[in-house]
Amino acid sequence: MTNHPSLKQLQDFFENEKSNFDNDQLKKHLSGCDKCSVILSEMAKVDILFSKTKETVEVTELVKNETLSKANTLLSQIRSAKNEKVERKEKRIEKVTNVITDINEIRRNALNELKLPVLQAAAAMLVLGVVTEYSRTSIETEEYKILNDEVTVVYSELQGDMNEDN
Amino acid sequence: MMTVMNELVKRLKEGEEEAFALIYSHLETPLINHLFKMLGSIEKAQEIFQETMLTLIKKINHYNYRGDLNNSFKAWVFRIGTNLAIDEIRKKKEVLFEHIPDVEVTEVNTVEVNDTKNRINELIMLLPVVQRTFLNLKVNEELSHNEIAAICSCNINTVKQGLFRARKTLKDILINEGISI
Repeated sequence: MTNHPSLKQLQDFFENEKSNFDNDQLKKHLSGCDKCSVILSEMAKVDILFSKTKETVEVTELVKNETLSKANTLLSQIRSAKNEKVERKEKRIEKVTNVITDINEIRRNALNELKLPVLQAAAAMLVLGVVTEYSRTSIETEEYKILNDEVTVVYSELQGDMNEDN
Repeated sequence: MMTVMNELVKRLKEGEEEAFALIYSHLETPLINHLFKMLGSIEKAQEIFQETMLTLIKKINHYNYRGDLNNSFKAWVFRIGTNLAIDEIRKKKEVLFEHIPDVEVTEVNTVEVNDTKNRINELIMLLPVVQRTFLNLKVNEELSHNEIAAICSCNINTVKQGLFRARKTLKDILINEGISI
């Protein structure tokens, strides 16, 4: 190596960061170049002096206790919010379960009694309408999917019945 | 370490006090010293430290480890602290990371202190805030240029340039103070 490495390259080498400068070549250069060695040595000495101040300050007991106390209040709020969310979800699942039960009830009792295809179709639309309205209000995607699947089954069965009747 | 920290973060998201206490003890010393290096005042550093730890809890659901170092939890928390400290410094209308000023070292007026550590600390405070912040994150926290850039919301070249100038300025200050390097 005839040319000196740039200061940026020396710094990258010093800090072990990726450099486009070949490290072996640079090491070889440093072994024969006092000027570059001095620059690196000064960087190291400045860093050593700076590192003596690594742990200068400590958090006071007062601030520590206050921080932990305020943190615990916040964490307690997080836990309450999580519990409320779980409770809300459980209630929604209960509602969905009830709707599914109702749909099954309709399927078992009412729809099977309906002989006219027009009435079957109207009943199916009614069920769909109830579910759509219900999904619009508050239920989550996953719960809606369960409902939707259930309705699809009912609807398919109805269509099957209608085809048989026709 | 990353796995342990991720596990603690997961527990913190559930509101576990023990998880927070462990994260707190892990970050306490480096964070308070980072903030002190930036702000140059113990009182302000304590104030911003507390704000950082509470903001950490409030924003914990925004943190998602993606597997890269730029997104390490420590770097994320340091970024919160750095931003809060910058807000504090901006109240004094000090220009920060936008550009890095060169500092002309003249005669240094420092309080006479016997302890070398305190003396060096006094001298470090003569560095522009951006330079001492970069140097602290690099030398004391051993973070990469990428991580420092992420914490300080600037690009890697700004970090490299800042580190170079910080070392040069500090060297001049130390020589001017008669401290041999």
